Amino acid sequence: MSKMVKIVLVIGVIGGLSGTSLTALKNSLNTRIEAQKDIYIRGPAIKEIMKNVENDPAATKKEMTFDGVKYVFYPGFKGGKCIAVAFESIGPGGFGGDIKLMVGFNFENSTILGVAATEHHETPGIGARALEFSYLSQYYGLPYKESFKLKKDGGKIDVLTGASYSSTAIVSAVENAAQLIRNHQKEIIETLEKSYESNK
Amino acid sequence: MRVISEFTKGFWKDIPPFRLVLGLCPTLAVTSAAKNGLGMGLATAFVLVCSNVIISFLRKIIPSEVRIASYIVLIASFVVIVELVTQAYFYTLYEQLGIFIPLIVVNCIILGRAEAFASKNSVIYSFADGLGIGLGFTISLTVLASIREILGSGTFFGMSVFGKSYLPFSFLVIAPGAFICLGVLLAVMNVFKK
Repeated sequence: MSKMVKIVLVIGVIGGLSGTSLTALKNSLNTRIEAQKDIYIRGPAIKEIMKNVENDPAATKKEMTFDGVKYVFYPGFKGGKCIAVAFESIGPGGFGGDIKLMVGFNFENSTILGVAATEHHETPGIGARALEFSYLSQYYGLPYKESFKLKKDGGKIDVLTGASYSSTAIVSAVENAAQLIRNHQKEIIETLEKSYESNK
Repeated sequence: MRVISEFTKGFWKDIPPFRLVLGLCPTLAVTSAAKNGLGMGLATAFVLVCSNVIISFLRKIIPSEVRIASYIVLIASFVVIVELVTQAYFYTLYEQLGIFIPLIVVNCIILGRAEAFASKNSVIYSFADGLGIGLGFTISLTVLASIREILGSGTFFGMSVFGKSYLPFSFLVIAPGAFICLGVLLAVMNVFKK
């Protein structure tokens, strides 16, 4: 019996200690990791989406909370007016878990400016093909006032053969992002313009 | 001095993965460029030294019935530390090594040293053993990766070696090239052993 107690105690203490120390490390390194992701993942994705803007979207990013969820907005300005915004949206249900996409919106003509993958765990060569420009480019220039649906659900979006999970996750990520813009466009533009003015 | 012999055996007598033919998966997979080989080697060496020391320190406390489970938890913790640190400070390397950083957990060298050495010897010897084997692994990976990178892409740590006129022997960069390189190196080592 005492042997049993010892086994449980040792395993429990080792597991607990490593768990707590790793959580502490993760928390202390988190800002640094996010900064690295800004440089190596989100930065290039934003640059690909936003062209013809006068500011550096990554330097003028702004946090806002809607419905209890925190979003980081990367705005694009031209002549002091906010003409575009990009932010990260999560698409649940990819083959390897959630897919994170940077979705850009063009306010000048109410269309999608661009879509680029930032984080995913899809199978290389199969699901991951849905995150390449050749597939994502079908979203470019679509009006975001209508909701995004796959063709089998009566929408306009093609599914990539062999990557139906990934395609579904991508369309829901874009739709989630578009919904937020549809509901809060005015508010978002005003806040972004205000913070841009005050930082000038 | 026994400490010195435990340390130096990792460089020739027991050098992984040539003498101690363990941990072949990362050896073959990440050695397409010298930088990746060195990074992978150092990451593994760090985990090996830390896990050897702490397992040797706890060897009288951990009951033998649950030793493998305890070792894996300890090793996995150090691997997560490596993963977080590379993510925070060497992001390009993290992207290059990808899935092979988490897979250090199941690298047979580490569990093998824990089971065969650290669980039976004192902290000092285990530290020397881990450092020797870890550095030996780093050297092997860097040598293998250098050969593949120099001949396969004409560069060394990203710097051009042969100039633009060199036509790269790109077969060496893909997986079959890794096996052939490893085999040739093993053959050369056997010649010198005799």
